[in-house]
Amino acid sequence: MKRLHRTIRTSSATSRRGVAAVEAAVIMPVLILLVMGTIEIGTALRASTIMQSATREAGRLVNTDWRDLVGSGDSPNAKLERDLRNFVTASGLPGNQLVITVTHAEGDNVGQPFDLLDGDNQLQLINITMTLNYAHISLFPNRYMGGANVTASLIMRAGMGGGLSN
Amino acid sequence: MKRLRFADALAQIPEHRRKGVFFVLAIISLVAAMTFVGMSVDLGMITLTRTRMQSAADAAALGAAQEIVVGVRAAGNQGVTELSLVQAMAAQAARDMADSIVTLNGFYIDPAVDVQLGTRKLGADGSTFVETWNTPPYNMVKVTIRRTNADLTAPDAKLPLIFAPVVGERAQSITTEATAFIESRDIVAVLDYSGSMAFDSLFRSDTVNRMGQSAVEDSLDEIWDALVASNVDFSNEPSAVKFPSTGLGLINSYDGTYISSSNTDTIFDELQLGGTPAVVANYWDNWTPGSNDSFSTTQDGWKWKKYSSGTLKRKPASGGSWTTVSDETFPGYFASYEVSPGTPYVPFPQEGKSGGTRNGKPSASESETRWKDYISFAKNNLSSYGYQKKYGYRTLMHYLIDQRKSNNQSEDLWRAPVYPHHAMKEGMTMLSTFLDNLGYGDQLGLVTYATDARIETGLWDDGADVTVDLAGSHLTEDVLDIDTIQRHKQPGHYNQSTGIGYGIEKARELLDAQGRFGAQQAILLMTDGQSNQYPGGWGTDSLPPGWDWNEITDFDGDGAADLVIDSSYTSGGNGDGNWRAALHSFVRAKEAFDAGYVIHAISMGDGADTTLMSAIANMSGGEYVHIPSGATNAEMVTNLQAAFAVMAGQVPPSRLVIGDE
Repeated sequence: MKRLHRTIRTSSATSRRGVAAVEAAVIMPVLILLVMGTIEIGTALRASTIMQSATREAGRLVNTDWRDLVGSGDSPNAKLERDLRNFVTASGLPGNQLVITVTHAEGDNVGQPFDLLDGDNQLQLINITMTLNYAHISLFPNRYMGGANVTASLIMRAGMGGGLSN
Repeated sequence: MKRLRFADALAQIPEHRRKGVFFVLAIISLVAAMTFVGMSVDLGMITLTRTRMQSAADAAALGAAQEIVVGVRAAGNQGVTELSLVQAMAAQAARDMADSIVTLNGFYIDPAVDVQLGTRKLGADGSTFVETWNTPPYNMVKVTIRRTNADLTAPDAKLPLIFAPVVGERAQSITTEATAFIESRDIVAVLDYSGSMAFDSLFRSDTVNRMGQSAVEDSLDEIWDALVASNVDFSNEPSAVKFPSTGLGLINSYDGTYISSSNTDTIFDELQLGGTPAVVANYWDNWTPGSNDSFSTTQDGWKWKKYSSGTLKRKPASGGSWTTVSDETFPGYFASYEVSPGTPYVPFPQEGKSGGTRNGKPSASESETRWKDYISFAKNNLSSYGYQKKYGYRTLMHYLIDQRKSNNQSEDLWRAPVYPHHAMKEGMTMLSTFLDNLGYGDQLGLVTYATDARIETGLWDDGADVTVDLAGSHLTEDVLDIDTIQRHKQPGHYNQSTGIGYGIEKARELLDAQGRFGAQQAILLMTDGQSNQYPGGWGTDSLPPGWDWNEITDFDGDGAADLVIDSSYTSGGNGDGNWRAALHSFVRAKEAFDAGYVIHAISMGDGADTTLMSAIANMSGGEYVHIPSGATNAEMVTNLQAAFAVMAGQVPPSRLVIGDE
């Protein structure tokens, strides 16, 4: 026993060196993955919240009588898109990478592009959707989430500016 | 330090028992890390969901409140002033709209409970709001989206949490709400009180060509009838009616009495306007010996007889015998009687005012002067219409409206429908009624302009039958007071010309002084003519610094001015306009716009400067309505009422109430 013990003791001193490293090697990837995942999810949630706020704040333009807000030579659709991008950019995300669609939210034209200038579109429901490819905001140069998109959309009602000159 | 302590602690554990310790530590820290990760993910989800719900609530509240805006505007466009029904229908439509927007956004509401309607009015201090719920009129919609249902299968279920169940809470309830409302308005009506606002009731070639002579005659008849019907008395002689239904002297028909003479005095006499003395006689003078050689009468209880011989006798009427009496006793000798009663002078029917007070019934000589002025007008004018030398109601009314239209000359013309001024009156009444029925706490003020302009502060016109005191609140929520004031004014009430710029200047002054911060401020500018009054020396040199036509009047966005007002400016119409006055008006309008006021414009009639008026509306983002001269006055009333109702219905688009997340 004594010898065995000694043997183990002696062997342990040498052979057990590196066990911690092995354990760490097993655990660390899990931990790193967890931390990175947390960060990625946090980034995604943050992006999603920012984009949703952008649709809320900048999208309100469509609901107003935008004639006084849209400069001459500008169009409300262009201004809306610009405002959305600016809002997102100002919040620290790449606003120029957003894919923005402004479409009819109901009726026969559902899914068709929505022209705010068109008088027929007054008071119609409008769907503002923004998509941002995750690859543009990921903090890590991986491709794991590369195909995923962050999306924010809001369905609201167009105002009474349409069909009237500004 | 920490690492050292950890190493120390590790060192104290016997070496052989340290086997696998990293695993234990790793698992403990993993559980802790997982909990934090879970919490952060859950918190993120809660925040995201709350943001999405808030977005949906905002969109729903705005969209729902639009139903009210649309309803009110439609009512205005259709000239409907019974707004309670309109609002009730709009309320239901608002609930439905809120429901559909929320549903499309993936949330759930019960429209009957979660959509509330109410009224939001600016308080008397002009900066705080008073809110009342569930009683009309409605100008506010609150949408509440709840995810509070503990039943996780319900559409309004709480947000299920991913990791938090570890610590007991399985779902998070979230409630968001948004309120949208329609702003109150401060509206200043700037009305044209120039003399031309009487042109459609006058024998003028353009009026007659357009409406036909009979229409003008009808209008003049209507004016006479209105004055008769008003039964108005002289201020100092309550029993003396100014416009008797029987006429004035021989001015006693609509068409008029034709008198060929050109001599004013002769005509004056023939029309019996100076009155006639009573024809008086006495028995003695009138006595003509009859067949029985005597003249007899009964008087003072006696029978009297006078013989051709000169003898006078009497006896009691009840019987008795004749007795001779002296000359002096014979009453018929002295008692005169009226053979015909004669007529008093005919007072000129308008007193006129001095210092704002009516002068009282004109004396015989004053009346004579005024009547003769009328006669010399009527004998020399209106030949094209067949009314020269015709002395009747029509020429008299024409004379008053054309020659003596100001309130200081003719104090009662406000009682009569003089066109197109009367059409404007009806329009303003429509506007006031609409605002009153709407009940959104809108305020109305009145600026009237002609040669100069003034903010109306009340009604104290002598002879107006009623007084109004706005008590300093010249922009008032008591919109019907404004209506009362304007109903008691006549075309050319103060003076005659057209100074649009002065009107706008006063309107701006009123809004500057009394406009409320939380209200949308608008000027409602109305004219039938062309501006021709401006400050001395006004010209292109008077433009404010930095004035750029290419920027200010570039309405079509091509970078070039669509209108430049300079000495080459002409704008058709009745041609009495003046480019300096037009420029003055436009600059004043731009200043008002720069001060934050929208200018809606109504031009009426073929004489109006439509170029200027549309440019003013266009420049300030206001509505513009032009009403061409009508074929009939009734048509003008209808059109003006419609135009004013459209303006009244221009409630601003709904907006969110800030700060109630």
